[in-house]
Amino acid sequence: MMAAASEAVAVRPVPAQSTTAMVWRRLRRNRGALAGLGVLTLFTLSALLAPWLAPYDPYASDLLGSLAGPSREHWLGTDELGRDILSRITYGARISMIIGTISVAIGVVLGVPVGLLAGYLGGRFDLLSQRLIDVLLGFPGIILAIVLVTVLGVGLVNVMIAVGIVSVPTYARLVRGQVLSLKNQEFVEAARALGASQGRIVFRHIFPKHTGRADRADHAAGGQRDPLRRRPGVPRPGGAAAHGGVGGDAQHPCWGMACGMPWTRG
Amino acid sequence: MSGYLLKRLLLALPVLLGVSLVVFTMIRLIPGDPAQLMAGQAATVEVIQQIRESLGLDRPVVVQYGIFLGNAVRGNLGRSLFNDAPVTEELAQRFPRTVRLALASMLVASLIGIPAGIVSATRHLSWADSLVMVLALAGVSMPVFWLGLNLILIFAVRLQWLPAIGHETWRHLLLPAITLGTASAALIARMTRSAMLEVLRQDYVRTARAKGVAEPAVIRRHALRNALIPVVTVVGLQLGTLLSGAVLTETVFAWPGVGRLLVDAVLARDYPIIQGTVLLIATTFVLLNVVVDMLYAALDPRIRYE
Repeated sequence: MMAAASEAVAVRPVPAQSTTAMVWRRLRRNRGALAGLGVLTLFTLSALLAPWLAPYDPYASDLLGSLAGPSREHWLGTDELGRDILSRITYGARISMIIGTISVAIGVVLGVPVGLLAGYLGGRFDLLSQRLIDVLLGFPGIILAIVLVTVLGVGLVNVMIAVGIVSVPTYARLVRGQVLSLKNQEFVEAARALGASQGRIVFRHIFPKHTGRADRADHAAGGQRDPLRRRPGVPRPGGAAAHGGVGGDAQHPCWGMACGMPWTRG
Repeated sequence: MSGYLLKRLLLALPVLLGVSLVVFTMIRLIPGDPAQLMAGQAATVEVIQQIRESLGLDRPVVVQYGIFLGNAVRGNLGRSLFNDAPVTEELAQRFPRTVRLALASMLVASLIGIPAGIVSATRHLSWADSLVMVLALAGVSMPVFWLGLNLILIFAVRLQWLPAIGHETWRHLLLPAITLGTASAALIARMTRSAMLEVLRQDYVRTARAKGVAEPAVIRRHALRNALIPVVTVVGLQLGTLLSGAVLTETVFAWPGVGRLLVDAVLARDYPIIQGTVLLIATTFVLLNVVVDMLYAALDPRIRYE
């Protein structure tokens, strides 16, 4: 994947100026980000190539060989049903990567605009929208997860919705806090003086500045995005959480279940 | 500002009303009948019906909610369906333990996380920065129960410095607080670092340095204070989450707090306990968010609320 990306850079007509080239150049300078890219590539490959990579069928159980330690046959040992753990981790990338990506997307799409507008507009919108956020925060994720699954049925989509909704307040509060302090800075005043509309100020001036913060600070490694993934008590996207026990089907391999962490990480 | 504060506190009522209404309806949507669970598998329909009647579960949900609300405003949250203990008593016993654990954990987390983040940002791309970031990555990635069990193994079993379980003294508090604090410390360190890196590039920091302000004062007064807004947000959210209970840590260290209470109540369909606990958690979040918003204004005087 890295080689492919550098080729893509090479064939671009104006390599020094293009966004791809710039992103790639910055990324290459940051070893941490490169390592992260490597890990993501590995996970993606694991998900895509699971049938070829996994040494065993992840569902095939061998009760006589259950809970075995690492051996030449089973590199990472076997679980309580005698299923090969390495194979289950390899296949588990599929479910965990999908849940992680989609539920974070749900959280961002719903949470970020609310935070942006609440922070910028202030007043009544802030007061009321933030009380809805309070309701969501006060509401334990475990109950929401159980209800969604019992009402809508067991399924990947419902798990993603549950995890996504539970993470909305974190995004909304973080963005709002930042915007509260950003909106008083000179560049916003300048935009206002130029007669920019409110929507333009929020989405063209404050929003890029806000996301740019994390980006510049951490070179795409995402200092800002990280905390959102990790609110103990909130099912961790792609991790245990909503699926084990609550998401229902313990049969399917996914990383959270493998760690035996049902609804929480606290 | 005091007008705003009053508005916020008044608005807590509809929030709590909303949370209680949603929880009340939702837990009754979950399959599983407390009467059936109490009576056991072999119980006859008549017996189950009798239990339902005695618990008032046979009445319409609206009526049940009305009764709950009427009692709640008088400070009576009902009794546990399983051991008949008053919910308020149960919470009064467990919540202080949860508060102690949550505060100790956040103290550990802030004392480690914020300085680590500052060091990391002021020595950007140095070995110290790399070390902090690698440790932060480890801290975020470790499952809490795994860390907890390992700490018990090392400090309680091998070295015998600290007790493994229990909740009576500060010595009991140490291991669970470190366990819970580690992940938050990692998060706070990352947040502080990225916010500081941004602020350190601002013109006013250059101005402060140019006019000869000593570096520690530049960091503390000019940079850190402006970088603290996202950090305070995260600390607030983390504290709120910890105050709503930490099931895994409570289980590992046999620390009877609110987290375990809620999960057990959900599994047993103990409606009054669930309702009471959720109401308490919601109140905590509402108050915490008021405090965090006030802190924003204190850190950055340009922030004003109407």
